[in-house]
Amino acid sequence: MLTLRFLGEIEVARGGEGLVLPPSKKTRALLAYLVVTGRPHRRERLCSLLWDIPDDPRGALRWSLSKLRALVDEPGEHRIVADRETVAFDGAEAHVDLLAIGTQLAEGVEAASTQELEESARAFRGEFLEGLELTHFHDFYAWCVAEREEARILHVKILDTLVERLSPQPEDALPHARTLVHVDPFNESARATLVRLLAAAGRPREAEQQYQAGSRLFEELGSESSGELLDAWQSLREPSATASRRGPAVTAAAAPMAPHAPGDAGLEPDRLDAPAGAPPTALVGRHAERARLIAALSEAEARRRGRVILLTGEPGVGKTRLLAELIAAARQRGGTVLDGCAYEAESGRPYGPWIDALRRLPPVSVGETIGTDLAPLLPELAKETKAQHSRDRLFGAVVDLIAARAHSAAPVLLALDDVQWCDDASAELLHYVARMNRHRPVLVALAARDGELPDNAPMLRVLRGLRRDRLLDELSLGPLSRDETEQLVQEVAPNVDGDRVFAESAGNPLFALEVARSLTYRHDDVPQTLSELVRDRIDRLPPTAGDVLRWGAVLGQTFSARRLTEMTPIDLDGLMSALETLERHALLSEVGNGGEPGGTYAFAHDLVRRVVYAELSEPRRRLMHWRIAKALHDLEDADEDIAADIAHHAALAGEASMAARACVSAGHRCLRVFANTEAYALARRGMRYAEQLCEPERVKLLLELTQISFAARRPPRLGEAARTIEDLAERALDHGCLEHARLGFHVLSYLRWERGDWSDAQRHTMRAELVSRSADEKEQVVAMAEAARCLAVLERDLGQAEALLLEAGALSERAGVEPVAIPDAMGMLRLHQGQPEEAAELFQHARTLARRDGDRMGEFQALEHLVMLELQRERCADACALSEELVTIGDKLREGSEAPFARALSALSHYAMGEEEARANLEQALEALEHADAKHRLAYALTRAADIDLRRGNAELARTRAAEALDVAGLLGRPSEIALAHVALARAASALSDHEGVKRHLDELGHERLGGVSAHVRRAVETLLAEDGAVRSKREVRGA
Amino acid sequence: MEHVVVERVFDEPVDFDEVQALEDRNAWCLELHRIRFLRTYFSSDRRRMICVYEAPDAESVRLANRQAGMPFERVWTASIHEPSE
Repeated sequence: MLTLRFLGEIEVARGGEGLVLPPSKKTRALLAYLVVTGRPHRRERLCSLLWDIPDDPRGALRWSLSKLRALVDEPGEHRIVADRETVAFDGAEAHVDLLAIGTQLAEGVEAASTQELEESARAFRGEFLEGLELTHFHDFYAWCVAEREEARILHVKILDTLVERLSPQPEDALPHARTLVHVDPFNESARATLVRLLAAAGRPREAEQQYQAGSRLFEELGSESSGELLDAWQSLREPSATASRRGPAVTAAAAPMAPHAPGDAGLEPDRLDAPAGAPPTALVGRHAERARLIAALSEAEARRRGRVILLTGEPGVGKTRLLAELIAAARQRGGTVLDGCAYEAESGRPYGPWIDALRRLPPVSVGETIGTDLAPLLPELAKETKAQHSRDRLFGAVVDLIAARAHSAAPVLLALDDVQWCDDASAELLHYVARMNRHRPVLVALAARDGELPDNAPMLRVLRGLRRDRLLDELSLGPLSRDETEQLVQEVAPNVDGDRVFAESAGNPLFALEVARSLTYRHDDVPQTLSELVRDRIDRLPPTAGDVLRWGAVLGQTFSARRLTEMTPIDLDGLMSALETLERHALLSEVGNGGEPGGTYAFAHDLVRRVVYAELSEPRRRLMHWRIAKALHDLEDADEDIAADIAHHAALAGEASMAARACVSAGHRCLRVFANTEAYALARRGMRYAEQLCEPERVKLLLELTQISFAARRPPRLGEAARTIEDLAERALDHGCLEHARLGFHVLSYLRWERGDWSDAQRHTMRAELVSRSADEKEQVVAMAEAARCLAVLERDLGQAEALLLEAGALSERAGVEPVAIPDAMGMLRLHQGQPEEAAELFQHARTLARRDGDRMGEFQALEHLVMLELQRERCADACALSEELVTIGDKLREGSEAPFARALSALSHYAMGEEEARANLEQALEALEHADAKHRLAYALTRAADIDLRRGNAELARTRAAEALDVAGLLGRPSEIALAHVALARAASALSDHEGVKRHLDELGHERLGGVSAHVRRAVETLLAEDGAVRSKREVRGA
Repeated sequence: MEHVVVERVFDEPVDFDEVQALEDRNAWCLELHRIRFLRTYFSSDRRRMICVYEAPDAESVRLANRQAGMPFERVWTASIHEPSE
């Protein structure tokens, strides 16, 4: 039986055995589309869905289908059912995960048995078509995103029901509750349930981690909390306090934790306070784990085989310490080390850990070419300012750099700590680097908190991919043994009671050290939780050291001494002595100077920072964040790089305006480094801040943020998105913010025309500037409308034309003018889009306006468009009547091609009615058009005449006319006229049995980029191609 | 490409720079139509002007001139005959 799985990465299996999928993503996407939609699709539709390329999309489709046949067809059983017109997938007897769930739950989730729900839940291996969204193919992308969202909603519903039904058995409910939090991270109620279940299952420490992770998430999002999570946590605190006497429950303050939490960098015993004796330097315990890491490094080096190793464990268990051992070993062998750390608050700083890791390499190791390509991350390496950048080049440069180091200074160790906070862009780069270096001596070592890893979907996806590629080894760190704990604390505080420390800490090294430290000055009443232990120690610090610690906690997990002096009222001497004290007390450690005078410091563990931060009163916290945000904002070298920091501090200071503006800057930076997920997240965050502001600032920022959001991710519901933007643009106009209104209209028009390709938006805006500069409002409106008409006539930049018209339309009401060019040009755009009814109404309206203004030329143009529309709709009698009126107006316009064109249209209308005498008039009018040298009008008239000639059986004449039309249209470069001339030529050749000629013109049409042509022209081409296909089939059948 | 001649007549004497400014403002429109300005003959009474462009056809020049709000009497395609040596 054939099994197709789409929930997660695509998998196809036959008889339970996985099949190798075609490497082309488009081919896989095609399979998914055919199977999931479950109906036949026209070939043209599939081509436009996935092969929006000028050269031979049908050929590409055929190629893909041949690959799919090889995959899913069996002898005597054809699943890909295709004819000349359509393609379908025959899904009988095949198992498709998504469809099977639909059948199983047809009566609704509530009606299904628990067993059925569990089966369905198991089918979700990841999101729908994971990694296959193909963002450049807008129709496919929109379909994929919509299906994905539907699948996600169903998944949430299944999990929700399961968790509810299984909650009396917490161990059974837990896996589903965890998945639910991962799939629906912003669901506070789901997080609260998980916390309750963890507590009920006797896992208070994990419950606390989940509570803290959730609180930080909601605070960072600035979303209103229903209080459910806090309630769940508080209701557990009493029982957990008793539990903590048995085990090391890390009870934090009840208030939600700071969103800006540092990593567990630097839990190194040698940095801890040593009341007696020399500080310990040796690693305690972890012999097997260390040996395994070193062996992995040796193996990577000896067998030139890239590996990834993931260290997991709870906070404070010593992951960072082990990574440090591995780093030291790699350095000792003369290898290359790239080490970085992800930070929780740095989601708005794409590639953060990579930037840190790359900066730590000696500059000589980065060649000039690689340096240029790395410039989006490391601007200091840019040699050429105008170099073209792309994400592929950036990723390629990182791989090249690692390959070069693997050649000259092997082995290469890439050590990334705290990847549970890794941003999406970094995760993708990590995946790419790991896959591209599988045949090089490269070891990637990652460390993560297992409790928080499920919250990071991009990282989970990468880990799943690495697991599937069999590149990943996993190593879980448990607690130290009783003897090891004793040894650890004996080295720090020789006289404390080792048994007691182990009993209190349950072998968590961080906790054990804090207990030991506390026991050196207390004998009874040792605080029961890690937080209380740390707080107790901080309370004993001198006042200035306490201040420095507080400012540091507000600044972040690492901070430079220079920045502290810039931001805080503490003087330099006081600061330096405070830093020394804090280092001595192992609360801070210097982590290299990072090019900063005075050095850079990090908290010994993020828990220390969280405790300090939680102790600050809310008003004080806000004030401190405000001060930092303002100082950063006022920095002379403030640029987009620190915009994410400004947004973070401004948000926590309650400075919505500054935060929203910083989100705009940071969002633009993310777009420039191809970090779309981060840009999107920043835009959404910025919008929440902007919503709190007063008009007009609110509407201006919302428009800027919407532009970033759409550039980063195409909105799945275009209609809704268009309405939102239109409303914002109108409001911007109401407030007189013309620049922003214009931005809104541009975004809107691009939604319609360019489908989210904003790269040229700036150029277009400049063009609009040119049109509207130095004129009063009425003139501006007219100029914009005329400019739009010019673009519409030329079939160029139609998105820009629509933007101009939208803006001109909105302004015209205010200025009390209504230029005829607005409805006329809008009519042309609607006609182009294939909406003739709407176009007819607009042309009619344009004609009325022109008459009102006594604008003869305007009237002529509107009427001419009406006649052309009627001819296109084959309403020849109406065309005849209207063209008579057109001739009358044309005769009054003394110069130009209007009079001959009016006569040509009139003659065409009559000729189409079958009036033979009209032919002489037509010839006369065509000659006059030629004399007036109006090539576009001439090409139009010639092609229409050729159509009529053909219908009347005069193929030779048709061919002559169409050939002339093609020459003329070619000189002007008008896509629609060129395509129509080819259609007429192909039909004429066919009538004359000139098969070679038919083929030649069909080839031209195949190669012609049909993207720019009008909807009715596209239809004419498609009809011709379909007819040709049918003829060929018949011929083949006859031949057979 | 054709050489296209535009004849303009003004009721009142005009300032050359003003006409030029009007045309400059619509330079993008000329560019879209693939029109290239070649030269202008401006009468000494400042009432007449002949402009010569290079363009795909005369109609493109008409459209662009109308768009720019530049008055014109006639627009025609011309061939150029230089005196033989």
